[in-house]
Amino acid sequence: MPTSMNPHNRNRTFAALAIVVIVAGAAAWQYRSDRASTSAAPSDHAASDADTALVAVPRPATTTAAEVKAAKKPAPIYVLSTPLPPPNAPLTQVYADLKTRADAGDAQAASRLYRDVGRCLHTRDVLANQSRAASWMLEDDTSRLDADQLARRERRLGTIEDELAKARANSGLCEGATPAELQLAPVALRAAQLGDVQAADCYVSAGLTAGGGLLDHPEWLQDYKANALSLANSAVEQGDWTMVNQLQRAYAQSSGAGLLAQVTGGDPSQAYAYLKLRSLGAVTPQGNSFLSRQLADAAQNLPADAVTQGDTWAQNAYQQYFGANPQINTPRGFNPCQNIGAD
Amino acid sequence: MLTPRRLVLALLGLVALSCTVWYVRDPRLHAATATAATSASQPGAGATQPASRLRHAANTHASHESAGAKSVALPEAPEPLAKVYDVLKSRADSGDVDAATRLFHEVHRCVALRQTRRLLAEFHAMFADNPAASSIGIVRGGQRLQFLQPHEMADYVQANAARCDGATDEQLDSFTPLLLQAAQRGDIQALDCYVGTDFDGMEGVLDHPEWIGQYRDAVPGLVESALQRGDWVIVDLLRRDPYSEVYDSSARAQVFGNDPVMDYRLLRLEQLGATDEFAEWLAAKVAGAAKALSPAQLAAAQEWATDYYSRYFNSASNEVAHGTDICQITDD
Repeated sequence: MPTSMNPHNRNRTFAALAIVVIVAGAAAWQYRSDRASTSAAPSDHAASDADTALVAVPRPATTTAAEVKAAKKPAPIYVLSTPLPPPNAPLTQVYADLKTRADAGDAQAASRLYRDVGRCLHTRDVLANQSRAASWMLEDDTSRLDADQLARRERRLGTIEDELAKARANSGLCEGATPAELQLAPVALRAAQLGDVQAADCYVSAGLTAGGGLLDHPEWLQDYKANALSLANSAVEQGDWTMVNQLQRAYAQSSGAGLLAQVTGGDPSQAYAYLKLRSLGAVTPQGNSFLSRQLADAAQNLPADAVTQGDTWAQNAYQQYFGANPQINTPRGFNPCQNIGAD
Repeated sequence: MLTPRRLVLALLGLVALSCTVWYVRDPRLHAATATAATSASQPGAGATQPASRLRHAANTHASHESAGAKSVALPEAPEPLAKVYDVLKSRADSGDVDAATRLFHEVHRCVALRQTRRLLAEFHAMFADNPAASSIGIVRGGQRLQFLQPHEMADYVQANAARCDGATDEQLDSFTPLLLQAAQRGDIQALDCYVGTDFDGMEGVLDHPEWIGQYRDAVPGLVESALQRGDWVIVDLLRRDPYSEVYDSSARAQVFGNDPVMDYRLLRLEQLGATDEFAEWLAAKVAGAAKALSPAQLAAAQEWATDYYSRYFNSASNEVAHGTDICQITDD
């Protein structure tokens, strides 16, 4: 918190926060998307193009909307879901049953398990970290703070108190959960495989590390390599702007693109195609203008036919997948693995 | 201001995790464009501090000492990595420590170059038409800040491109095991970098799940050795962000877990080496961390900190007061 940071860092941090505000004001639109919540079986039509040369035609651009629709998809899994446990059932009481049902292909059970585990992770983290943060804030010397700084500090402490109250209310649902039951990666993967787009967003972005367990399960890396790209492509086909952003950053090898960038490899043509798709979902004229400039910059380094094909693919994808969800509305800095299952 | 020859970069893949890139506004344009900035001096302060921000706390780092036997002459320094990689790798695998050290530094240089190019491209794509953008800021782990000057980064790319032309992704993705080797040989900068690396910053890890177990096995010993060499950087790196309200999913946090005793020990140790404002700032953190400990735990942790400080640390910890930059490379 700025009010109590290392004094040497404080100025820079204030500056940084101000800067973030400025940037956010200029470009917040670009991260906005609607987190599609419809469920469908994921397709696996796309394969890794990690070795594609810079001048290669982007894979999306070579695929028309009709071809995308006709692309090979696994047979949908139809499982009649029996009623889920009551919403306030403790995780330890429902974990085994939900896991069994999820493993058998019950999409609702898989999504419920993902959210229950996510909620307990969030509860654990709030209780541990926000309590600590609050205790440290209360130790700070406030004698040198001005009125605005004091007001910000009070607001922050109030927010922490609210978060702690919610976490305490949820703590009974999570009591006794084992570390293995709090591992997010496997439940996120299963829910994503059964069509939960929000679970896919989390799994693809930071699902392997968000809940711990990777140290004991390095095989998750191989699961990720085998599944991440097909899950990402499927999410895009369900109109998921969050995944469009993730794929664009991965193909561009942007900072913070995470493990997905290792799966996709760098591919400027594909990065352009997804950037074009994002531009079609831009909410404001400013956002559109900003992305247009980025597109023009990216196009300068591509052959003309790659640009044309990227434009065509993006138009087709936008019309086919984003008709019900035409505008990006994911907040800037949105973390798909944070606040899972929060009310 | 740094010159290209002294440019130090902290740009490896590990900073990619959870990092946000923004620009620092040119203070000369501040008055004309800022309405949200809290003061004119703050962006300027950030933009004019890359030298101090990027310069490693050199006196915390013992110079690397090659422990190996004398080897035959290494390839000439300006040779491109692609040309010398195989011979250096072969010699390193045969136990030639000088070759291993040289290979690590050459690969490090080219990994930094790759990351620099990516960041520059991102910067230009986002802010090329914004005359107020003069620097790149990176936040890692929500708090640690770095400010990099695009023109310096461009200079670095220009100065090192020839030495990295033709290097393959496979060669560059060998960085993580080379980094571990260098850390285990005693290169303290490599040690800090390795411990601070996050799993999704390990390029190539998807094909090498064994790196996860290696990290878990190696890190505790590396941390202890760094402490016993008086490395303030590792202290600052490992103590948890006092104001972080989110789960620390970093690789090192997964190894050490949620350990209030360790938090207190490290904060107290850092406090013992601090003076002036930094000491005041740490005092509040130490007091907060103490609340999580029993009296017996508190007494033992204080004893540990006092013991380690007196035995291993003979410099002020203020040099990490601005945060810790790791994985830097100095162009030699």
